[in-house]
Amino acid sequence: MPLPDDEFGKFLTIPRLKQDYENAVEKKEKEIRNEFKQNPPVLREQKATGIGLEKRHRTILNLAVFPFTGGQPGATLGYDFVRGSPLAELGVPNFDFLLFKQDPRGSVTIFGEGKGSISDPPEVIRQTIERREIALQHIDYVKAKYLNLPVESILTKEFVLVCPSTECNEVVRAVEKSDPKLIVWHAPLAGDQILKLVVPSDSAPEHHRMLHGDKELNILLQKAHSSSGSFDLWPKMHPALKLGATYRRLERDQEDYPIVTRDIVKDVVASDMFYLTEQEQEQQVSEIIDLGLKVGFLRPVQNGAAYRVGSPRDRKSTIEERAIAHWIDWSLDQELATRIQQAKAMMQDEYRRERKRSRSLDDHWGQSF
Amino acid sequence: MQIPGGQYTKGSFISYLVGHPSEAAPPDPGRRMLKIYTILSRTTNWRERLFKDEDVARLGEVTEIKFGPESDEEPAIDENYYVIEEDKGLLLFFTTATQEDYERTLEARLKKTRGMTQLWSEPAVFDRQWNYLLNQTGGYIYRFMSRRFSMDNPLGSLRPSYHRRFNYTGDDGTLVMQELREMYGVLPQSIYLRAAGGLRLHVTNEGLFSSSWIALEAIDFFFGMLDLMRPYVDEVRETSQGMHYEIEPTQGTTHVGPRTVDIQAGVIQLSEPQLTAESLGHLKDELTEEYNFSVIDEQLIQGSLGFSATIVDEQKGSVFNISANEAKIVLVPKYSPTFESFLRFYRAVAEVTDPDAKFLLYK
Repeated sequence: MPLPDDEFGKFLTIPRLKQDYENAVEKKEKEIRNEFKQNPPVLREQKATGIGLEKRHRTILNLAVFPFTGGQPGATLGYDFVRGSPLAELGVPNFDFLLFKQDPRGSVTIFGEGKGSISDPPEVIRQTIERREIALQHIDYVKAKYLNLPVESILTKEFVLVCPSTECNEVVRAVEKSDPKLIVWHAPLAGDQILKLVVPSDSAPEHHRMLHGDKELNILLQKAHSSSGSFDLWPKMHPALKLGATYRRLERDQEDYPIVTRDIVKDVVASDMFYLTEQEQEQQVSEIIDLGLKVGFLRPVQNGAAYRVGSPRDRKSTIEERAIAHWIDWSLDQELATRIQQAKAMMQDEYRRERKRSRSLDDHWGQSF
Repeated sequence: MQIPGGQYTKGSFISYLVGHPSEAAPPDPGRRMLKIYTILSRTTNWRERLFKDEDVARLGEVTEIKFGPESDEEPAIDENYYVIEEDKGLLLFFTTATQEDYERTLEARLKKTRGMTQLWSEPAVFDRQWNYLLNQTGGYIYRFMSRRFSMDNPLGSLRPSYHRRFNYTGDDGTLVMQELREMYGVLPQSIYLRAAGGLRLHVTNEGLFSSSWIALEAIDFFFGMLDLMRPYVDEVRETSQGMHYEIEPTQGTTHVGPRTVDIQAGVIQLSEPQLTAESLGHLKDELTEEYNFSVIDEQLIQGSLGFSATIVDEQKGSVFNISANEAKIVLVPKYSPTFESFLRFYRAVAEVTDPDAKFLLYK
């Protein structure tokens, strides 16, 4: 983090140096601002692409967990979807979802990581294995907090990587070479909404470790019907998508403006992220509302009891576009500010060195300015 | 419409109407038509939901509802409805109110009340309805309204890319309706028939049946037609009312486990895998323009087709997700779901994209 300009100026003391620094900073800042100003379409496009990628990720997650919701065949087998982003609240690298089968003869829990797109399969495998390590280190916490199991209970733990069907071959090859092994599921981003287990070739070493211990689960996953649209919100989702919680359900105020209230956002959060505790849900709600205010999308009215999200005649799609545009603008502003700060920090380092050089010369000549 | 107070059964109510047509219908000759509206309801306390302010009286199995006139200036005609609960959740509203009165009173109320809706007949069912009436009455169609949206799947019709609407009057209506259907792919929505004895009937695909005067014959036709429709009515009710999204704690065998969610999704199965990015775009437009839905949080993937979005029913306030491929659209209920939203969405798909689409539970 760079020092504020006046503080740094004092440190430099030599007027010539100070002036040089100020000029250089001003020039650099202008340069960066210009860059941002000239490329808004490209930069905005990049942001929009980022949101699109996150939607793909969400699609894979939904396809992965739907068969484990009540009434679906996975749940009928005993496996329930019980937590999104397990361990995220501890600030550690974590999996995307947790499934749990309670069984007095030996419960099973499945940690799942979903990928909307995979550019570097070995790296993805490595990351997932790292997360596996961390999950195992925190298994007591998992048992107590998510599964209501006593610490000493026996729990089989399995680890799954879910990838888009078009990309699973590479992933499977990488997993076959890895140690420990992972179980791989895949689902198509388009076409038939199904979830499948990748059955490794018999020649792959230890290939049984790429299958579930439960034979019936393996059979179910030969082809499990699924749906890509079950859960809109996940605990660690892209902020632009989280803002969606503020305009799905709206009311009207006295002047017919569309408004959202904290209670409405809470309903939406409690519905999609049903596995969070009351406190965690409140936290998510605060996060979402704060974000909405920060980016200028939510406008508080009635002394903050409600927030306006648009004009009386706005269509919902218009409101959505506006929310995303606000987020993109704000995000670009943040980026701009960060770039400027980084450039300043670098420049301050440069001028520190320059100052050191000048000082040693002064000392040598016994003079100070 | 007016009947004396008392305790009625469905049978004695109909007997009264049929035996006393001039007393039951108001003196104004413009208001003699018997109308029967078929309404679906989710709840048993539909009386309280629909009619907070009006006079509601229980006359045995029949419920009487008096709507006051719109303003003090109008002639003070009480428009009354008499409701029979044909089955749990299947209500029949009898009245002689005019179309304008209906729109102002009952229809306006239905549009705003969650858990209630007029019955919409899918195209194949409506075909059975009017064919049944034609056969039973030995009559002919003398007036109709048919329409279509532009469609990629043209049913072999001329210039399928146009929205079309035909209002036709003429004694060869039966033939013209069929010819227009073949030539332009338009489907009937509202049909007027003249029966052999001179009685005129009017039936729509939105649950209205009416006859030019109160007669036992007409009422018999209506109930015969309703019997025909019952399997369809029961099926769509079961499907749309069976869909849910419920959060529940699980009960483990040894102790209470973590919370889980129970989802019953629905699916609209197209008759052929025909959805494309274009037809989806068109459906989206009509959903917003014509059917009062909003479409947000979209994702479209091409190659194979993959589309998902959140649908908001702007009329009833419910929210659900859809995810589609070429052959079907899966509906997952989300916030404040109510069955008639799913029915209206199904109607949109059937009218805009595929008249032969089927609506089922997703199993």
